Amino acid sequence: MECREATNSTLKENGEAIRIVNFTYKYPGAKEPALKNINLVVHEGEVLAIMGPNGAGKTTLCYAITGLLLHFFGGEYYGDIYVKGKSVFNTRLEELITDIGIVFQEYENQIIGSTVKDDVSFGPLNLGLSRDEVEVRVREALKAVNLLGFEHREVHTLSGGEKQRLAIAGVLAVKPKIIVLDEPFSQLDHKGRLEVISILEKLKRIGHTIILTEHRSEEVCKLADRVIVLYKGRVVLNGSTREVFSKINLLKRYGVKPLQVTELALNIACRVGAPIERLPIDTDEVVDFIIKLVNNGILKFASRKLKPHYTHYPKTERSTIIEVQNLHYTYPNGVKALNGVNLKVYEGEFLAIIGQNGSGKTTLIKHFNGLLKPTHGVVKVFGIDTRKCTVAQLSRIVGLVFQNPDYQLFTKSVRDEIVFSLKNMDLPRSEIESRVSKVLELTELKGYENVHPLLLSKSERQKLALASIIAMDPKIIVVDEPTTGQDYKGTLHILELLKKLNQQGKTIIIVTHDLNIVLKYAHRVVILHQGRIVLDGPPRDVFSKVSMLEKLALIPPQVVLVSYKLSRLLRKNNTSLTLEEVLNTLLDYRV
Amino acid sequence: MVLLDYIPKNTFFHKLNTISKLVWLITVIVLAFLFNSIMYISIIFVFTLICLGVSRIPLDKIVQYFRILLLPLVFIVGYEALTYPNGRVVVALPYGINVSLDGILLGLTFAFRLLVMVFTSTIFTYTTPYNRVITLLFKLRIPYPIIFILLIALRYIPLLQRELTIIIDAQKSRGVELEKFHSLKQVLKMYIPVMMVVLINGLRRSQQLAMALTIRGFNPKTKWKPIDEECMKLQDYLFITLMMTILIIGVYLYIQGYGSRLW
Repeated sequence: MECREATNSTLKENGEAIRIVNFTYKYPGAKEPALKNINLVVHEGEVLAIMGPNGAGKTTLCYAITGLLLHFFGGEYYGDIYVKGKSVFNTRLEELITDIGIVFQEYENQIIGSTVKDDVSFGPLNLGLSRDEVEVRVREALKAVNLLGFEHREVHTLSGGEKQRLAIAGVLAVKPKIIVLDEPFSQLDHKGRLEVISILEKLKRIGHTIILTEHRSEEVCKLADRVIVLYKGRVVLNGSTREVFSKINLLKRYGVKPLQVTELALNIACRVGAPIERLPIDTDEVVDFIIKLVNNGILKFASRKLKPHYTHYPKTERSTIIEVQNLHYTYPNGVKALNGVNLKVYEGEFLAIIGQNGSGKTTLIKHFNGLLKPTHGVVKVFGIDTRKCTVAQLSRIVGLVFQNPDYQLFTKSVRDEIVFSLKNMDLPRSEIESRVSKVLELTELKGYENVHPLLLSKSERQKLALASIIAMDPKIIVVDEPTTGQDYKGTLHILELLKKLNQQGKTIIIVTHDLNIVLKYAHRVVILHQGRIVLDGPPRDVFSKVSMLEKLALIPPQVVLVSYKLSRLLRKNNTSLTLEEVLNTLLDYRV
Repeated sequence: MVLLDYIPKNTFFHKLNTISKLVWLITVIVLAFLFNSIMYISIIFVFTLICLGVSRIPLDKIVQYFRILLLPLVFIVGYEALTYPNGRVVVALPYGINVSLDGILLGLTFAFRLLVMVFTSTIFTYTTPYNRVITLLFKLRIPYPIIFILLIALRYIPLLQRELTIIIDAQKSRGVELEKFHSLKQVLKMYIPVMMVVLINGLRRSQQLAMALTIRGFNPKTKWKPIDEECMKLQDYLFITLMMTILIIGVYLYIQGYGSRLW
């Protein structure tokens, strides 16, 4: 971290990669400008992170910097943007592409070739380079993203992380010095994110300027030299990563998730009245900070028996509602997705299924409503074998919400969308009406009845997809990746809604990569790995096995890591799961 | 999509140059159309079966194609058997309908011809990776914009297929009974929303695609060339010579009037 701050000052001596001067932009037909009076300088070799809630203008800014905005969307603008001294509005796009490249949030859309080599060679071939030179560029680009040896792989057989890296390679092959990445981590699992981070670090070392938008604060802190926060089209925070992340209250106000470690350090500093020179922004720093306080006799680490994390966990005799026995599933193309899963889901629980991409999570939940039928083994829902009924019949008991709401909304208005499911159930009109209004109220979509689903924000669309399932009143609600592409507030909204439903007696099953929400909401966690369940238990049991989680490429929330590191350093044996728990164990025996 | 059916293996057909394979394909199909005789056609059919064996196309794929073709094949043979005018009668049915031997033979000729066409093109697509096909099109001087459209289509078809599966799954999960039998009207009504979603997502994607193409320097006027080149080997020259000889002999026999009669 120190070396990063040292480089900050040297960066300023470097040339300017980008200068934005009083830039304001309005989409055609929009009432409000999407970007307002932006002033920003990005230095060569710098990693700049643009943060902010959905709709703040992050993607618009990315398109503006790369010159794509006016070219593809039109609209009005004031001010100017210079890339390497050239105004993007007065330069032909063909000239800009060798200075600046962009990787879209939906990176799959920018992969053009069907095989890896075809794709990476597309740019250089368009530039009219000789075959030898193209070969060299392809090799260089693939080496930079660790995809050498993948040349002849077909794109649709790559994992999400590999595709993301391929999209980066495709841009690198055109050799721009500035690379813009729009939410590069939103669709990746932890392993994929680590791979992309290491590649971006490598690109930085060889002198690239990197601009990325991101919601994930932990990843931003690993990478960025500087952070700006956009809110309603304005730059509201701009400073070094440490400066910006130390402003916890402002971050919360602008819908950016603060770091748990910073909150923890600040809490400790306040409670013990110790001065704090530099707020920690990663787990090692906060551990150092705490150890220093312990060594100075200001803090004492207490070994306490921790209570179960969830007091409202259903204690009564629970009945099994889903029973999976020795489930195997092989896709028609021969890919074995599940290898003998045994699982019981109990009535009223909030279950989280986690695991890397490709571990079989989605395959497993598709068995719960009969979309997939076992190749071998049995899945019973309320005692009924799923092979013996249709998906439509099961959909009344098990509601399944998919990952991307854009594939689930079919109708012209929010109301119609909810009615769509109910019509399939042949309910009387009065019943439909009452259910629609109840669901609209519950999901806070009242007032949007006649809005076209596509005009809703991402988090509202996700809520609508959920609403259309809730309306069917299934006993079990299964949600695949409820937080993908959601900002901090959107994530909280959806999870709070699921919690409310759970308290009303629904059984909730979620599939997620976000271990923070697992910790906060789930009663029980199941970890899938290579088509098998490797861990199953309450969050406290599962999350205390930190080394095992790390082996499975699942990184627990920062607070858990801090607690784990502390307990190992101080040879105590308990792992706290939340900020409050860590604070309790630390402050109990204050000297 | 047939072009995506390539299965990597190490057989004679996999090693052949695409042009050699094209010559082989044309030779076999031309010969199959030149002759009417069931004997000649059977020889060509057996040769095709041998090629299928050599190229090690999985048996289940062949069975799958055969199953799709079975009904039309039976129909062709049956139709010809019943409608062939003045043929040698095998069975006389009531109402003056006769099953004729000549009709059956003609039907079988058509059937074999169809199978030869399907199986040879199967061998071609299963042994030729799509980028070789692109290279071939380039060599045949097909204009770049057309090749480009094919490239994009090849890339997007698996994506669209995946999307369609997700959308249909989402519909089923909302209680749409897709598994039951429906009338055409009901089916259309069910698929319209599905198609709408595909279309809307497609439009959104096409805008991103246009941007992606721009940042990667795409220009329909560029002098594009494929990245991989394929070279002709000795076996290709020998194979092409062999095929051309067979074709010439075939044409000669045809001109001489061989194989024009049904039997």
